[in-house]
Amino acid sequence: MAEVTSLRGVNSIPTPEQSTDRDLVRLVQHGDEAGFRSLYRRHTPALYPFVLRLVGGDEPAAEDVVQDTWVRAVRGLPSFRWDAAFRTWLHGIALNRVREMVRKQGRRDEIGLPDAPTWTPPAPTAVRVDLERAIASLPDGYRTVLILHDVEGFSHPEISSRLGVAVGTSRSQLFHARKALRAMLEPPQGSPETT
Amino acid sequence: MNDPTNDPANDAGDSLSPAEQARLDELPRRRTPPADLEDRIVSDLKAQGLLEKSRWTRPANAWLIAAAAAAVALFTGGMVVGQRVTVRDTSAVLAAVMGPDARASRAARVQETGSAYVRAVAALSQSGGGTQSVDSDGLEAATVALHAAALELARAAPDDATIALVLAVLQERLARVEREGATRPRATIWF
Repeated sequence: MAEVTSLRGVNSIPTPEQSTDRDLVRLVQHGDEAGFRSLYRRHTPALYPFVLRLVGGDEPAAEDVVQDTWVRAVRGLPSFRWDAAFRTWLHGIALNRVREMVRKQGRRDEIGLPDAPTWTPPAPTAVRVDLERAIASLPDGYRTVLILHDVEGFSHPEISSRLGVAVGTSRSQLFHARKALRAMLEPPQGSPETT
Repeated sequence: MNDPTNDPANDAGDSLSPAEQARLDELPRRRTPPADLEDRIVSDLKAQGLLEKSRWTRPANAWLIAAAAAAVALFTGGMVVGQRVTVRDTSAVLAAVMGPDARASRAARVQETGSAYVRAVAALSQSGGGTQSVDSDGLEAATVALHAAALELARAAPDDATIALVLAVLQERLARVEREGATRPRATIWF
């Protein structure tokens, strides 16, 4: 007989909350629903607002993109090599899905058109515009670069790589996006908010 | 908001003001998705053959299983009062497992051993008495036994999410027993 010195098992099986992304991905690759739900609950609260901003606040469209993103992600897990974090990879899939949607809807994707900003911001109102709404009303290309750079914190080289555009194009898009945003957010001169 | 440069290719001169940066930083980075989105995606994944039907499909069910496992541990532990008396019974249990009857199937031996265990703890519960210390010892002994069984089950069926959950609950319980037991002599014995 021997006294128990450790009550914990040698091969402890972690709870879903304790599991790493790799653990959960492994479960998902075996078709495990519980593993998927854990992975979904871990990453979707960050994925959803990211997508929602990219699609300009269109909630049904954001839900469709999130759904497609997860389906593509699960389908693509065998090819995921962990060169990046799972979150980064997932957001990349979502970004591509949004750009596909924009193109399919026949909207302009100004990201590839650095010198043709034809969009002009709406005239500022006397009331301060909510930042989320201002971002949502930006053209798709401006909005994408602004979200990636100013909200998500990506550098221009990273954006360039993700979007397949030149670094200068990314900088240009950001410049125009910020300019448009400022125009929308600034109340007109002489309004009560400026006096 | 200022606009210090008109050079679109150089955002270094177009940096955000502290106030602008603060407003952007205040934007929420996390948001709860619509409640039904998770189930829709799971259904979609199943329809495409990317997920199998799980043994537990709803979080509520998972917690129900966890709660049931915890209740079993606590109930059994409560019955294992007077843990020293168990030595004789446990020896019998071990004899059942390790006995020379090589012809008995593994399943039959597990069933026989399990029945002996249940009889032993039932007899202990009827022996009555018990101080708080004895109750704690009994709880620890019962939890250790359940944990060992769950661990072996998890090894036998590593992909079984339900067993993994039961094991996780027992490990949490044991961690608490360990913390509580750090201030008193350990009474659990192992064979």
